[in-house]
Amino acid sequence: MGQGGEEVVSVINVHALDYHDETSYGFLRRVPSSLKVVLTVAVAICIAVLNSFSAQVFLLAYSIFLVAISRIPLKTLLKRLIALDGFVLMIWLTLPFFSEDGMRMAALITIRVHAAVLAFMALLQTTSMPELLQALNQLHIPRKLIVLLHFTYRYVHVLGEEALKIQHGMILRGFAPSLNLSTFRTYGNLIGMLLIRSIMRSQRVYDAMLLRGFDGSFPFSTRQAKLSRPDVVRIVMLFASLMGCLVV
Amino acid sequence: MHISEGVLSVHTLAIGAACAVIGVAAGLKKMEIDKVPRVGIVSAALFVSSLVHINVGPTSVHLVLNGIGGLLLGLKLFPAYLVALFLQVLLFQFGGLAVLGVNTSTMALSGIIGGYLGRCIISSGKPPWLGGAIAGGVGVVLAGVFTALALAFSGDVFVVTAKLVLFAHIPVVIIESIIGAFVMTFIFKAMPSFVGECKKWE
Repeated sequence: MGQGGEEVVSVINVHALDYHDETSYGFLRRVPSSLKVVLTVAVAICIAVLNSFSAQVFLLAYSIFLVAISRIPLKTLLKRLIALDGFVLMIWLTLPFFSEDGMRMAALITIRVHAAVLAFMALLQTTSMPELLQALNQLHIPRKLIVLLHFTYRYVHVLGEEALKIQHGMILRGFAPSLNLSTFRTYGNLIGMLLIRSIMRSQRVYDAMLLRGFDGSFPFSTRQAKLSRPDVVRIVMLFASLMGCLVV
Repeated sequence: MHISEGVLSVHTLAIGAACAVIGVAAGLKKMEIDKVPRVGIVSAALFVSSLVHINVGPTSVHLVLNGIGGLLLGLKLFPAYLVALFLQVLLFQFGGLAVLGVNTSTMALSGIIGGYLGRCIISSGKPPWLGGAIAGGVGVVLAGVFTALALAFSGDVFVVTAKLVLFAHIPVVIIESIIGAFVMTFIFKAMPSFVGECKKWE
């Protein structure tokens, strides 16, 4: 892997299927994950609902503050933001030319997009998947939806590896993608193979689960970090300062 | 393909969220807890497949596969898309939390309609490639139309953007129907029991 020649024919990008950063044990890691989910939703709603410039700038500042205390590595952060800024660039290339209000709208969208993404990253990249599932359960999200999230996340990784194996086989047999029918047939076969393997695997997985007594219940993590008094104060301040966007 | 955070107006977001809640509730009702692993694993396969990117001239498009998803999962595509799009926000920062409802509705509803047409074609005895092509093509056409409608509904500023979105979908529709045809041909060659298999899930 990683050789120059391989990059050219790489069909599927299965890298970056992990989101959780092993960041150092910062304050946001200690905040109970259900509170982080609530805060994420609250920030997203505020960003979507409020229309004034000052409120949006406040929310952007709030998000930057969250990222600053989240201890997410700068490299990860920049990589995510660059992917995002392609979209922002497109907004700036289209909106200002087609409407009088376009300039203001483009600026507002730019602020909103960055605020939303930064807050989301700061709050949820510091939450591992088991913690997230536990939090959703505490917030009374339907059990079936949570189990579905668990299985999809788990098997995205398994099937990503499976896809890589198929891709290696294709490359070894001299597959070179271009824009023609035989390339499309190859892609069709790749996806068809992946789907068939997933269907058969799901049968085996389910049988194995039944043998182990699966009855629809799900073992949620019950790990809960102990909160110190200063941490409680910090959490209250975190929520209280979000209210600031309503008054500015 | 789907809309980013911070673009749509509040009432569009609210309508999208309401549609998504109804759709997801209907999908969950159809999905017994013992079917959840199956739907999750198939939806993971679709997720991985949609990472396939195809170079068209200077840019590359990635596959959508919502029509094929509708063919395989039916109404259960709604919860599957909600989860998959949430994972996309988590993993790649595509889309966002507030537009999750709109994106789930546009992608899942179009996929379900396309998939339903595809299933009708296949079960009426027509060749599977035709069903796959129709499912793939119709899924993406409707996804483009719904996305453009959501944009246009959010304000006159976005009407031009909405038209651009529609035009950008034309090459994707062609690619998606060809790929859909090949996928279904392959599946029926390698696993002829497939239609019965799908029906069993209902």
